[in-house]
Amino acid sequence: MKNLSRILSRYLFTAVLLLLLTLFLNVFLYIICGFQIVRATSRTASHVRVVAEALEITDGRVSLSGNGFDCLSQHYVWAMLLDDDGCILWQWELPQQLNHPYTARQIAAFSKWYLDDYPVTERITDYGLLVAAQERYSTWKQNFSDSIGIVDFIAHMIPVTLFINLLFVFLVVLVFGLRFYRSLRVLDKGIQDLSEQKPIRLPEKGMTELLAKQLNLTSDLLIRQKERLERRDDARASWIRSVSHDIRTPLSLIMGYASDLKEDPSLPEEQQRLAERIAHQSLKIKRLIEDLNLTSRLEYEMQPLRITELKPARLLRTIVSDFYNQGLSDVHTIDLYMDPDVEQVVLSGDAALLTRSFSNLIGNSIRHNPDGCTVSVAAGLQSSGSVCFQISDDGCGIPDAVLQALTAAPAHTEKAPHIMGLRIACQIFRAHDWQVEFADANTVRIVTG
Amino acid sequence: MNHIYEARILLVDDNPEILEMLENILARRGFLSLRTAPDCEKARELFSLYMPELVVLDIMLPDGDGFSLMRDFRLVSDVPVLFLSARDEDNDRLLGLGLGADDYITKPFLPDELVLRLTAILKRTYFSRLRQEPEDPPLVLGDRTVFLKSGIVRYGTEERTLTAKELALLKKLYENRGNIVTFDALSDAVWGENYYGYENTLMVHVRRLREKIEDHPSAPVWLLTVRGLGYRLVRDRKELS
Repeated sequence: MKNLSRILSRYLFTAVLLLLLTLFLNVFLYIICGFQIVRATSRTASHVRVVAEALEITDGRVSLSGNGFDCLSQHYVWAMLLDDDGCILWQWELPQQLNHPYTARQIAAFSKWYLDDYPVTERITDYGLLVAAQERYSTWKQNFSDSIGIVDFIAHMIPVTLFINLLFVFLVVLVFGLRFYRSLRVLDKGIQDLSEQKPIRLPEKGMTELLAKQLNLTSDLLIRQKERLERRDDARASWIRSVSHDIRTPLSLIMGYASDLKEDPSLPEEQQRLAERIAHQSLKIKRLIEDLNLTSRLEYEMQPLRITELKPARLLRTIVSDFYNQGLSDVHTIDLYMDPDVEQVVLSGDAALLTRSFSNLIGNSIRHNPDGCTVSVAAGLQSSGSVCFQISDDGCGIPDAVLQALTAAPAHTEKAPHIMGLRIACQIFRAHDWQVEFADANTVRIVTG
Repeated sequence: MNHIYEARILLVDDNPEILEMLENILARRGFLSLRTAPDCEKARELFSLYMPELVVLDIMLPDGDGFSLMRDFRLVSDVPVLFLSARDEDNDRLLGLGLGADDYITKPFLPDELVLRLTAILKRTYFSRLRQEPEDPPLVLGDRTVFLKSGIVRYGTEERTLTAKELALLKKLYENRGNIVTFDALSDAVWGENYYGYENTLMVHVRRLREKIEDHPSAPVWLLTVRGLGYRLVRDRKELS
């Protein structure tokens, strides 16, 4: 939702920015054009002034000096000089039909508009009124006059109109933005639900119709996929459960009878020893079945975690002590290094499962180093408040194949070596959202979430 | 019943081979009165006729389940029940124990373990009240004798008294003699749950205890420190050598 508000505010901001930019561009262009127009007008005025100033009377006759004539012939098609009575004192290239005295009414008319469709420019000189004409249809003449009140009003209305325009555009943008926001909100909710694996059915209409359709399709696809995965997981888990269940009864018989035989005094010693081996191997199968069941339950998230508060320092001391108390051989040593800060740390977790995973890791080091090794178990507090556990040994280390199998997806570990104990340990830590990292073949590091 | 081996035991399991094996195992260990039932119906019939003093129950039975069978039995009697099941899920275990079962063993099982647990239930149920609590034998640590009940340490003609905390420490160590007892477990025993965190306090008490039970408290031979973990009371003289 926060994202959506950001999108909407950005949209509004962009729209207003666009509007202001357009406005500035227009003002800029208006100023440029106005400047050009003013320049052109003043140019026309300056031409006629040049001509007017070049007029002179010699011997009672009006004549035009050289540069005045050049300017006239360059910019005008004809010209005439009228005296105060409207009679022509002087003329140049004046068409025949215009060569006549002009009344005051005629002068007033062409000074505002055109003379025989010629756009004319007038200038009062010492000798009379100079009238110069440009090419027909080359200039648009207009007259503007209004009351000062109206002009003032227009001057005041410009900022008001500008403001009203801006407000109108802002409101239009806001209305469209809100409509857009509403349709996006539906999509946003849909995407959020989709990310939480909830089924969605969005209304397929409006401007987001196509997007909604695609999202609905994706949701259907994901649901089908999820159902297929769940069915497959259920089938796998129940298969493992039923197989292990079915094995338990015959294995009980094997273990029971083998235990009986190994203690049967009527049997020769060799046969008693063989019976003991059968009993021992049956016990191994029993543990394997239990591990297989636990790993499958953890894999398919069917193992509920019994979360309680636990002190990691206490947990580790108990685990390490148990190893010693259960009879650790003299060639093995387990050293525990506890950061004093960890003593007061309380974590949430399934104590039984965590005990099992730490024991698995320590037990692995011991089991795979029958000639002896020193296992170091350390716990420290990180600056983030997480606890970092490290279990390392100076023994043979975890083979590469096992490390690879541990980091690979379960589907690709069919040919992997037997790593049930390690896998379960990793699964338990990950089920607690703790990170497991094999720093090297001899060191595993676990960081709490 | 004068002895646990005279206890009437009813074994219920849908697998006849398991029943046969259980019967053999228990008979060989000396149990005299055993009956078997392959289903709920037969189990109910035998229960009312035979009035067993202990029932070993499977959970999955052809005509019902062990949980409801136990409920039925418990309506008329407080007979102890031990579940023996191929179902190892925590929920089943918790359900069984929650219903009041005395123990829960998953198949496959070690016969010795089954017999031990079964014997423990019988002793607990039928003989605990009758059994005389034997007085704890005095704890002999070299030339010193500790009387745990009175908290007195005798050394020749000299006698010293242990404080309550020293006695609690020594009792905890004695109960786990030969094993490491963690700082946490010792603190729990002396001060109650989750007290640990004051290692120095514990060390002070251990030092005072050593002054009373060791010849050379600074070089102890009976109450040993296990670095980083806790303390250990040496099992016997043999271990000392």
